[in-house]
Amino acid sequence: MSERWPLRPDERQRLAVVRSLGLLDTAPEERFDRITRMAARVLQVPSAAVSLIDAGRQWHKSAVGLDDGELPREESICGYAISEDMSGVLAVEDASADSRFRDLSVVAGPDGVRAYGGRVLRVGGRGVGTLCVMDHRPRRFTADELDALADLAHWAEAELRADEERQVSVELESLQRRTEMVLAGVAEGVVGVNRHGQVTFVNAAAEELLGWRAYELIGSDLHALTHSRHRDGRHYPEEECPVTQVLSGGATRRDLFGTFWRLDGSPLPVDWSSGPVMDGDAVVGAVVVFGDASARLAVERMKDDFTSVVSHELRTPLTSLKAALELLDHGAGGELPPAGASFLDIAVRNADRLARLVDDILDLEKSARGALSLTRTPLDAVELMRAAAATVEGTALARDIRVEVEPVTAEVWGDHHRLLQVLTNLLGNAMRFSPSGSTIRLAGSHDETAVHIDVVDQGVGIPADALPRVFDRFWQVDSSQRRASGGTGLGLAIAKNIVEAHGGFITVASEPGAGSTFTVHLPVRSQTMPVAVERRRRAPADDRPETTRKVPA
Amino acid sequence: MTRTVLVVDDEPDIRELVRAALEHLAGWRVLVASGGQEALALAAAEQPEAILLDVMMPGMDGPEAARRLGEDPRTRTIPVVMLTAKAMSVPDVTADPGPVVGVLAKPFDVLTLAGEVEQILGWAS
Repeated sequence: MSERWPLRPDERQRLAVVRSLGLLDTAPEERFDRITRMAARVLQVPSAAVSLIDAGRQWHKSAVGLDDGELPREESICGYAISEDMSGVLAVEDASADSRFRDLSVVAGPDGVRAYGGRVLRVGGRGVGTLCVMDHRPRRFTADELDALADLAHWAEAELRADEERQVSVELESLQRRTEMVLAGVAEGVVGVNRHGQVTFVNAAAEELLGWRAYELIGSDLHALTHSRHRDGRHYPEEECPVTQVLSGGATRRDLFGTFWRLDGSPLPVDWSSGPVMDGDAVVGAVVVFGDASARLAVERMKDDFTSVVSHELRTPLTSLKAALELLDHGAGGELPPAGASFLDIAVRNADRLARLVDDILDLEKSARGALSLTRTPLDAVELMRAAAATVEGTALARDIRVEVEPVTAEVWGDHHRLLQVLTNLLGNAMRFSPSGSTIRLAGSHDETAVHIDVVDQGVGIPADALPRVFDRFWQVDSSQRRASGGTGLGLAIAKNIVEAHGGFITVASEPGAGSTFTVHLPVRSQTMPVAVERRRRAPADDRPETTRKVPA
Repeated sequence: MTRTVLVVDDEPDIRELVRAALEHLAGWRVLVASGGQEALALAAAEQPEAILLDVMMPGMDGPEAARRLGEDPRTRTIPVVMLTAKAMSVPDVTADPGPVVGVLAKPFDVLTLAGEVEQILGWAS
């Protein structure tokens, strides 16, 4: 490479700028030729050039009075000016008498360069080339001439930059077009907002779904225009909007069954996500992606309808059936013969079982859908445990099983009826798998974030490989046990859903033959349970080895 | 003396069950009507000591029947207990209760029904 003219440390970046101009080896252009012609005329020299200094060469974009289109960089006076990164005009009266230049091939011979005037052309702070004038005779340029050369160099720089700017804008435009083409092909609506929540971008699907044209949306406040009311018409404060939360530093989030309002005032049910657009560490905007959830909403509604049909149409005759059987059982139909009484007993038990199943299915469906309405109040954990124990007292006595409640001082923030249902279900489950003469223990504990309630039995236990399945609906270790044990197979699934609706979770630990421990973990008031608590293994009730597993949500 | 009550419900099964529960388990005399119009006539003619009135009935519904019972000088002193499905909102009887003295939620337990009615009406069993 250029050994005569040492390279500057920023040579790589300088070269990148030179090449980014997109001018190297292109045809002559009038806008540069005009400048070189004028330079030659004003400074009264035979030769002038606008050149770019490439890696190893000087290349003339425009030249007058010069034969070659390029020459080696180390043979060029302009190459020197670049290597010195000169800011003013380099004026040489007689190159053949100048120790820096006299050995250059362009200087050699009687027709070689004698007088030289050149100024470095800069783009983006880097010297990319020169505007230069040359004469075969030695001469001293006047101050006026050098000023004129400097002015012309400014002009040349402007032309170079114009080219670069055009280049950048063309590239940006094509990049933007490509992006838009991609987003136009997406079936989901995509809307971009700046950090003030104003719309900056709208794709075709978003226009289609919302009914607004892109030009109507761009610049408007997305929330105010399309999102300021809930489905039921209630005001939706901007600070509660997921987009607002993303803009103020929140993580990407996904929301189901949101409502956007169309131009025609109709609600659009959407499943949607909002994610931050980052510039380094700063949130500069957000991207909202949404899809039409009408079809899914319709299915949900059908499920709701089905639920209420089941609830009413199944329960009503069942209630009458049970009532009729009870009346028979109480002699309202007269004395029954012994065989009749035994048939009646079968009918009563199975009607009861059917009623429990219907209730449980409805509860499960409701809780799985997240449709449980919880009325939360501060509850005394011990009172809750005692109330649960009381509901199974009769069965426990009949089966000779002791139910113990260990005292603890802890307050639970929850729905009394539903939490009682959880503990009753857990107790009922424990009872079904406990031998007579055994004990079921209810014990509570708490820390700063959560209350933990254990239901410990001395029953048959659950094999480790079956633990993850115990909360599945209709599942039992041995499915033939279900009918024999009298459970519906839904109690644990319901319990899990109810506890999760409270923001908590249930864990189970068991050793086959020694018993099982189900633990309800409930967050204390107005606190979501930190992950650390969830991960922590609770100390086993005693020293026997245990398998513990968090039941996946 | 045997108590006489009037049970008004459009569903024959419910009518029959309530009748059976009150007759056989409590020993009352039970009159039944399948709608509001029939109830008004029967109440005026038979003068029962209480009326159990279903809220949701085709034609004249429970609240309307109760209002008419309260307007008729022959029936206005007979206490009325409304029967309502649990899922439905309980009718507001505090504003102008008229003859309505209480509400029983369906489904009710036939074995304890008579006791609950007695409690609402303040009858010593």
